Formats: sequence, C-alpha cells, structure tokens
Amino acid sequence: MSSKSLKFSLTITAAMALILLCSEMLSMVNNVSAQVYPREETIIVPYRRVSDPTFYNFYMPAGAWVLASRGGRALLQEYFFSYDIVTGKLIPELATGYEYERDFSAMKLYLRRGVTWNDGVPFTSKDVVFTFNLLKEWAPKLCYSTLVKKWVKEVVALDDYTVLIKFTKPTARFHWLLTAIICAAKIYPIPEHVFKGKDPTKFRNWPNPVFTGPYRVIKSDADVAVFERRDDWWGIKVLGLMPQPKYVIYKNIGTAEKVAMALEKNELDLGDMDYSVYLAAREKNPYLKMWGIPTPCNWLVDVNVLKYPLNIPEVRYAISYAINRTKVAEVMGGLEVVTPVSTCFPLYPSVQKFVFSDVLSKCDWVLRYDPDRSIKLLEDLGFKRGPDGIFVTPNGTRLSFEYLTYSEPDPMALAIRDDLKKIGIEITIHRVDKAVWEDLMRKGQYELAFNYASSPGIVSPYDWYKKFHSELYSPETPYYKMNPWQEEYDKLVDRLATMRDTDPEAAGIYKRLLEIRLRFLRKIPVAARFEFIIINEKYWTNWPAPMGYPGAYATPQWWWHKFIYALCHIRSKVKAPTLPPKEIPEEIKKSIEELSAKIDKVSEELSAKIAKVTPAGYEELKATVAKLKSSTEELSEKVESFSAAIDRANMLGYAGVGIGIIAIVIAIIAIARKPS
Amino acid sequence: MESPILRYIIKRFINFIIVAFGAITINFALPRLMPGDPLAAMLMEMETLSEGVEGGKEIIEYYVKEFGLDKDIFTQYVCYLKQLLSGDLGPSIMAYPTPVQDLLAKVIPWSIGLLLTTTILSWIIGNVLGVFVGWSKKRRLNGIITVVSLGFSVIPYYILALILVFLFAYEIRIFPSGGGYAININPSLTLEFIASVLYHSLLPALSILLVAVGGWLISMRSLIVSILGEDYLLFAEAKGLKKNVIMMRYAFRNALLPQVTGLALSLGGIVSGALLTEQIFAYPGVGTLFFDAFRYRDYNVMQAVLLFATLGTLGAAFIIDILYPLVDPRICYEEG
Amino acid sequence: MKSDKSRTQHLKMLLRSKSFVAGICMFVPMLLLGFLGPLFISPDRIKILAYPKELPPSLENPLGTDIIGRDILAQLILSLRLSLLLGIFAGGIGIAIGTIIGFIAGYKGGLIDDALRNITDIFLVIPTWCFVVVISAYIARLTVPMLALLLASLSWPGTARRIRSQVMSLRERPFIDLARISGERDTEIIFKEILPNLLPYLGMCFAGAMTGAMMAEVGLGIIGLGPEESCTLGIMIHWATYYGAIVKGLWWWLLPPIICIIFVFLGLNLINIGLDEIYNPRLRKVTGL
Repeated sequence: MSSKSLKFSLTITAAMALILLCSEMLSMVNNVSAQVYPREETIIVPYRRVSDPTFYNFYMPAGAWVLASRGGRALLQEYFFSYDIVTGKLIPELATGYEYERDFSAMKLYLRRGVTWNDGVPFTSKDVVFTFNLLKEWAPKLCYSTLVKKWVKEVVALDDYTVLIKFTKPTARFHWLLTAIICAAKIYPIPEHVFKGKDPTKFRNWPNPVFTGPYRVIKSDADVAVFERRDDWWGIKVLGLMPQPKYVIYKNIGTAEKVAMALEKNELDLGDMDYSVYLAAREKNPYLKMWGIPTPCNWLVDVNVLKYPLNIPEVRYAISYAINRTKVAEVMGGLEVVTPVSTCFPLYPSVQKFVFSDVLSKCDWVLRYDPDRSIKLLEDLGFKRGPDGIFVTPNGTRLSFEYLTYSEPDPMALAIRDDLKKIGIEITIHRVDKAVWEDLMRKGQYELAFNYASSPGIVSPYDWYKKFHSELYSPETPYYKMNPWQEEYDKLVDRLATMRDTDPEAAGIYKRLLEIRLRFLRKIPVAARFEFIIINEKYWTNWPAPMGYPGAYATPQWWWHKFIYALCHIRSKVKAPTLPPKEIPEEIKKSIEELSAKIDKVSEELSAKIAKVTPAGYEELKATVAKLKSSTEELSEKVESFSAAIDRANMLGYAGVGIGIIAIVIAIIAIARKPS
Repeated sequence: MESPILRYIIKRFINFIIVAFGAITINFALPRLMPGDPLAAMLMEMETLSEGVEGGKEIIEYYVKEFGLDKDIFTQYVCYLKQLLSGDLGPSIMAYPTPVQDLLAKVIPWSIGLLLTTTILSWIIGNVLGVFVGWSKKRRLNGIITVVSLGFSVIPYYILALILVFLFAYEIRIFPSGGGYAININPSLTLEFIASVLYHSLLPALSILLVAVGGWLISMRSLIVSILGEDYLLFAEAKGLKKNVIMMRYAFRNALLPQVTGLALSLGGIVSGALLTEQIFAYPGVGTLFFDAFRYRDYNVMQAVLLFATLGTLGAAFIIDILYPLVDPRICYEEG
Repeated sequence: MKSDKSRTQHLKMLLRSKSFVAGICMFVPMLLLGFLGPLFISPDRIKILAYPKELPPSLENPLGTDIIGRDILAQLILSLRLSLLLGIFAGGIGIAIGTIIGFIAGYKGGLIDDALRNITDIFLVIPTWCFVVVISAYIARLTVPMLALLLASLSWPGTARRIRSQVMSLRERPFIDLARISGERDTEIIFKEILPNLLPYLGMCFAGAMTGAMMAEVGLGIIGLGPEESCTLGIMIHWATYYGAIVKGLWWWLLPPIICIIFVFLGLNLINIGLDEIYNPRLRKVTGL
C-alpha cells in the first residue's frame, strides 16, 4: 500500500505544480496585454457594479443607475451650472449666465459658445429647447420630467445661444434645478440630433454615447468602465482646462475590506476606508492621504410626535439633553472625523451663517449635554421612576421605545441606548433592512429612529424649511403638524419664496423659523461626520485641498460632478503634465516677441499721446489704433499660416497667446477711449 | 402500452409539475410579502442622487401602473403565470426598461462556468480522497486528512475567501484580486479572453474547492467503509483478485452511484449562484444580481432568479429519478 | 426487540470510537465555556468605551478590546452562549418537526406519504440562501426566537427525509409484525418498538441540524443580518471584518471567534461520524465496534 500512497501523493503534488504553472502562464498572458492602460496615465477608482451597463440614456432609471455608478456625471455629462460649496458661488459651465424677469415669471438662459457634442455637432439652444419639450411631453415617464411639467410653461430659443424659459408660476429659484450642487443637476441637455424621433423610454444612446464631456466610453461592462480622454473636447480650447489622466477606470472591487486592501497596495488611486483602518494603513503605506469635507447630511434621531408621551415637547427636550454627543462622536470614528452638531444644517459657511447663536442659546437642549436637566424635566411632568429605574407616566405608560435603524454595525445606536438608560428611558434597537427602514419612515410607523438630513438645504436653508410647509402634508405620509406654530410657519415660508436670502427681511424670518424648528424638535440633531475619502498619492499628486482652499469646488469625490475639476488639477508623479498649449516653435516665438515688443512701444507712445490728447491728437490716435490693428492682424495671419503645418494643439496655443495680446491691446484702447 | 416504466415516468412527471408549481407560487409570494416596495427604493435613490424630487408622486404612480403593481395580488399572480407561459419574464424594475431576460443572460454563463467546474472538481477530489481514506488502513494519515478537510469545510466561507484574497492577491501576488476577466480585454472567443477568464476564476474556484471537498470526502468515506464489509468483496478476494482491482471495480463503482446522485442534485443548484463568492471576488454572477434585486425590491428579477434555481434543482432531481433505476438494477420501477 | 445492551455497555461502545471521543473533546469545552463562562464575567466589561479602543491582549483584557472599547473575551463568551442556544433550539425544533412529518409519512404510507413528500421537496428545492435573505427582510423584527424558527425551517426537510426512510425500513421488520400480532396498539408500537431504535439516528440528525443552524446563523451574521441587539459569533466576526481587522492585523479580535466556531462544528461533525460508526450496522462490522 505504501507505493500506492506514494504514487498518490506524487500525483497530487504534480497536479498542484501544474495548476501553479498554468496560472503563471496565464498571468503572463494577462500582463502582456495589460500594457494598454499604462498605470501612470490612469486613474482607477472603485464603484458599484451595474446590471445593465450599456444604457446611457440618463433620464431613465436604468440609465440613472449607470450615471450614478460610474462617473457619468463627471466625465460624460455636463451641466448648465455648477456650485462651489465653500464660496457659495455659481460656476458657469454649459451656460454662462441667467437672468430673471423682474416679476420672476420667466428666465433667460445664456448658453456658452464653442461647446460641441462628442460627435462634432455644436451645442446650441435647439438642444435645450428639445430637452425641455421632451421632458414635458414624456412626463412622468422620465426622471425629473414632472419638475419640468410643473414649472415650465414654454421654452423659446431667442437665438442660437439664448433660451427664454417661461414659468407656470413665478419663482426665483429655477436656476438651481440646472445646477450641479453636490453630485448632479436635475435637468441637463441631451443632444437633439441623436434623440430626435426616438422613444426616450427605450433608447439606449449606445454604442458611442453622445455627450459633451471630456471623456469617451471605450468599455462598459457590468464591473468595469473605462473612459479615454478626448483630445477634441471643447473645454480645452474654451475653458483652458485639460484633464490630466488619459484613462479613467471605474472598477467594482467587491466588498469594503477589499477596497481597503487594494488602496493599501496602490491598486486604486481613490477609495473609502474606515478612519481607524486608514490610520493603521497609513503606517504601512505613506502614500495614503485623507481628504474630507463635512457631510451634507447630518445624523439625527427622528421622533414620532404622534405617539404618547413623545408628543410632549419636554420629553423630546429631555432626550436631547441626555444624548452625549461627544461620546457618540468618539464611537463613530473619533472627534477628528465626527463633530457634534446642533442643527440639521451642514457645516458649510453658506448655511451656517443662518444658524444664529442667540436662538441656539435659547433652545440649548441641542447644545448641551445635561442629563440632570433631563431627569428634572421628566420629573416636572409628573413622571415617576419605576422599580427598574425606568420612568412611568401618570397614566401608567413606561418610557420604553423602539429605536429603528438600518446600519449594521451601529455603535451610535448602542451609545444612545446607554445614554438614555442613564436618565430612565429604555430603548430597544430594532434593526431592519434599509428598504424596510425607508418604508417605515415614510409611513410614520416608528417611535424613535435613526435618520439623516437628506437634501438639507446646502445652498439656502429655505430648501430645508420648505419641506415642512403644510402643503406637503398628505394623509398617507403625515408630516406632523407643528402645533401651535404651523400657520405662522407656513406664512413665513411663503414670504421667503418671493425674496432672496440677501434681503434684509430674510434674516429675521430665518431666525424665527430656526426657533420654531428647534422648539418643535421632531428631528434631534446628533452629529455630522466628515465625508472623507482616501487618496493614494503613488501615481498622482496635487489633489485639491479641502474646505477653505480658494476654488476648492474641485472635489476628488469621484461620484460628484466636480470630479472633473479635480482631474484637471492633479499632476502625474511620473509623467510631465499635459498642458493645453503645446511648445511654440522658436521662430514663431521670436516673431510674437518682436510683435509684442512693437505693440508695447506703440502703447507707450499711445499713453504719452493720451496725456496730451487734442482734437488733432485724436486723428493721430486713430492712426495709431489702425497701426495696432494691422499689427495684430499680421500676428493672427502668422498664426493662421502655421496652422496647416502644426496640429491643432499648437494652434490653440498661438490663438491663446494672440487672443491674450489682442485683449491687452483692446484694454489699452478702452482705457484710451475713457475720459481720464 | 401500460409498461411499469411509462407509469413510473408519468408519475414522476406529475410529481415534478406539482412541486414546480408549488415552488413557483412560493417564489412569487416571497418577494411581494417583503416589507418595502420597489418604487420607494427608486424614489429614495433619486432623492439622494440630487437633493430631493418634487413631483415624485406622479412618477411613482406611472411606474406602479407600468409594472402592474396597482392590481391586487391574485390578479398579479394570474398575470405572472400568463406571462411565464408565454416565455416573458417581464421588465426589470431597477434597470427599467431592460427586460429581465437580458440581465439574466449576462450573468448566468458566469455562474454556470465557475460553479460547474468547481462542483465537478471538488466532487472528483473529494471522492478520490474519500476512497483513499476509506480503503487504507493508516489510521493516523486518515485522521489527519479527514480532520483537515472537515476543518476547512466549517470555516465561515466569507472569512476564508477574505483571507485567501488577502494572502494570494495582495500580499503574494499570484492571483488577480477580482473580476471576471482582465479589464482591457473584451468578451470574445479569443484565446486571450479565455485564458484571462480561466486565470481570474482560479482564486474563487480555490476558495469554493477548499470548503466543498470536505463534504464529499466524508460521504464517500462512509460509503466505502460500509462496502468493505460486504460479502462479495470477501468472495472476490478469495477468488484471488488483486486488492487494487477489487477497490476499483467493485468498491468504487458501487459507492459511486449515490455520489453521482448527490452530484447531480448539487449541479442543479448552481444556477442560484454563490452570493458570497461573487461579492468578494466581484464576479459577475447570478448571486450579485439577486442581491441587487433584493436591495431594490425588484420583484421581477428576484422571481426570475428563484425560478431558474428551483427549476434547475427540480429538473436535475427529475432526471436522476428517471435514470437511477436504469443504472442500479436493484431498484425497480414499482413503488414500495 | 429492545436493545440488548445496557446503558454502561452503550457508553463503553461510544468511548471506543476515536472520532466520537475527539468530537466530545472539542465540543464539550465550548459548551462549558458558553454556559458556565458568563458566571465569571461582569457585565461592565462590555459597556461601550469601558476600556480604550483597540488594545492588544493584556492581563486586564486577555483578548484585548475592540473598536468601541469593549472587552473581547467577555464578548466572546456571551456570543458563544447565544450561538449555542440558537443552535440547540433551532436544531431541536427542526428535528421535532422533521421527525413528526417523516414519521407520519413513513409509517402511514400511501397518499399521505406522497403529499408530505411533495411538501418536503418543495422546501428542499428553494435555494437556501435566497430563502434566508428574503425572509430576514420579511420578518421586520429579527429577534433571537424568530431567528431560531427561521433556521429550524431550513433543517426539517432533511431530517424528515431521513427519518422517513428509516421508518419505512423498520416498518417491514419482523419484530413489528410480531408486536402487531401480539396485540400492541399503534401508539405502543411507535413508542416502545420503533422510537428506541431510532434514538441514535435522531442523535445524529440533531447534531447535523444543530451544525446546519449554527452555520446558517454565522453566515447571516457575517454579512450583517444577525439578530438585533444581541451578540453572536457571526456578528462578532462581522464587526471585526467591517472595521478592517485583517488589514490592521488585529488577530486577537478576528481569530478567537473563528477558532470557537471551528471547534464547535468540527466537534459536532466528529460526534456525528462517531455515532455513525457505532450504530450503523454496516459500518459496525468493519470498524469492529
């Protein structure tokens, strides 16, 4: 038998050796073809998988999934405006500006010139008109089409680059629907020449999806999407922006643990990690860096104010006093990344200036941790502690509630449970699936629940306050009337709809609204975590710095729209940066220098002449201007003459320089024309 | 012609239909009895993506009608059966308007490919080892092999897979960390693509193998050991046949039959995919599709996956029931 | 034909099987740890932030602390107890239902047998994990008793099938006919003749059902679908992997629950194999027990 077992073990060893050998050969096969995406020209980011990866019509749910899952918002789709959270300014992209009529019954939208779709067709107002009409016609089948149907009466193209949008009701806030505030905007243009005559609920926009963005899709599978930079993107010329990575890959890595491993092994450039994991991984891999901004969605405890005894405001205040927000911050990641908050508003300057500290000190239950005060409030109501330490109301109800949550694990729930136990309120944690949680929240079938402030009004607190206007109440989804303040609240919100936040009256209204909300306290604010991501700087560096940095609207969050700005900002550590204008040949440089020297001289003469301008001198002035004009024409001719021999990138460079020089000259002329 | 074979086949077929019908009904009812509904999930997705949706109610109303969710559950059931008989699995809710067939067609080949090979491989290895362990008299070696393979089979699969990935894909880079094939190759029938697929399936296959071998080994071992006491083996030895020949021709063959049954039954279940494997290795299989559908409460996709899985198992069992008596002459077609 | 061996002889037989002994040596310490252990630990050790976060093993915390400052050894003991309880209850309920159904099907035969067999097949055919994941969402409140019921519903078809085939083979034996002729009623036959012969078989089914239930619970816990608010072995492993114990190298958090799981399952499986060796008549001839 021993020879048999020997033979047996030999066979097994041989088989394993064979398997390893095969895998080596296969890996070589893989590596040979892996040269196609050179690592130093690629950015790899992790994201979810998509069940139907060839649906690029973003107005249908399948397309919306594709859009959300793989950088469509940053790399393919462009929006009319974008928004800088830090400064509160609007960034024009496909549109350069907007203008409301005096009575806010219509809005003019000015489109940018020079934008083209990726098949070369120019982007004009007919695309915008087509989009709006399509959305109106096909409502409610397309995403967000109901918004268009509700607000837009008619859309007219005044010329190729101006669109007039007439509203059904006056509004001062329509342009926010066209702005990518965080991730994406609700309404964006689609190409008329592609979608015309097709059924938008079935059309896939595939293969070769048509967008205006700087990348094109070269591969789209369920787990991987690869994008390649287009060198004919309009933004290179018009905006001077050049996205640095040639390839961007959105890959489905698997579970969160694998993302952490991949980041640590430099296989990803961006990713998510738990904060403690990041601290440990950073020791092993010094390339890792953290980038964060305060989350737009604060964490809250949502209270069902229809249930006794939670319907008594003092009970809610007692709960709020009892929550030790600092401890919650500790267990949810530590104070470096989690901050206790007092309102539902995110920690962005644009909304924080409407959080008035005098109101907060009046309603200090969201500010202080004071469990003794909680106990006193409950005792003042006539509740008594039972033998097990839990308060009982006069009519016999025990203060024992269910806390609904969906996260697993949920240290915050455990911390809150311990805190409330100390003041005599017992909660049992009831964890459900997220879809179930959403359902129960919507139907109001809960007692206490974890919630986050979704769509909290990043641009203006008005967006948050208007959610509690009584016109949004419905029998199936009670929004809980704020007795006794609901009427006053409604009136104030209606007033706000007609004014801008910068109006002097608005501040007073916001103060009163904040006070009402804090006194009603249906949502108890707890903490806000930094929404942070981990950057791996092995291949790419110069990522934009977080909040506070001027122009920090470039975010490396790869599922936000503004990721594209981050891609223009970064630099490769291995290769030289790709700059829009190429090196200008020596002779051209020399002639440009000569000409600019000439122009300098002429402008000096001009300014000397301006000092003593007389009617006679005016003729001289005209002659000088004519000379300047001919010089610049000469310059542009020179530039034109080389365009045939040099490729477009060079020409853009000259054009840029030339335009710059012309701009200087025109500025000088303008100064010359003004009475000094 | 009233032959016992025909009667048997018909009886088995009727059983098949009854059980299939029962399973289909349960598959229909289960997703719909779950709390949470698909359009709330869709609405929530739209809300978080872009800061709130006004007019969401009309969108929901339209889609409710479109998916027939406004009718009561019995009407929906009847519609479902009608659709099923005409071969239409309906549109997917989460990836509307893509039909469910398309989504399934994309993922089934991967599940079948990975699980077919690993099931057969683990069956072969398990049986070979089981024969060895059952036949040989080396107590200690037997004990070690049994305990080791049993030990692997009880480690929670998720942990085993994670540790394997950590060790072999990240620390020592022999295998790729995930995906079905390399990212720069397009699916086509080229040698490159097939090689890439094979290479990427090695680590998932290894993780499944380690866990599955134990079960086959134990069952084969007990079968071999029970056969060892049979009289005909003693007779064969008395006749003068060599030990190896006895093992191969008599013991192994007889023990093989129940194992083949087991193999066929587990093959029937591969259509349901291996969820954890696919999650960890980002493998594009049926399990992840089901999980996504579960998250979005996409009734149509969930029903379709469950349907295929149950039909697979039932079909395999039915075929075995028919073929088994042919193979094993001891079992006759009459009942009892 | 009652069993012709007395209790002590049974015990001696059991102890002669190496697999059985090995299994007992692995399983019983876990039982003791799980049920006697909680008497030695104070509940303060698992309060949040009772200790600093993520400490390595020390005298104060023999297995260190986890991400929110709870002592890991105390957690391990409590999780072990809960997991074992779940396994025992789920296994018990499972084989109770399975035995009743299998018994009726095997004993009565005919149409009842057909109907029960079809029902059993329907449950066998639904893919397990699909069923479990879906049901876990359906039961809005996944408390420990509900989870036990859910897990039991997975193990009863297997038991039912096996018990049915055993009962069917036993039914044809001559001693049953003898009992019937000598005037024993049906219930007497069931309890005095058939059941004692089934007992070792039931023991094996119970070990199998318990293993199955615990494995399902651990599997669910690891992906986050464990019973609420309590701590089981699966949930402990889930926390460990969620907070990156592998990447951070926190073996003292990740390994102990896994080792406990391996001991429990391996122990139960070896007990099963041992019982099979002793009571399966075909195997007995060979192994000489």
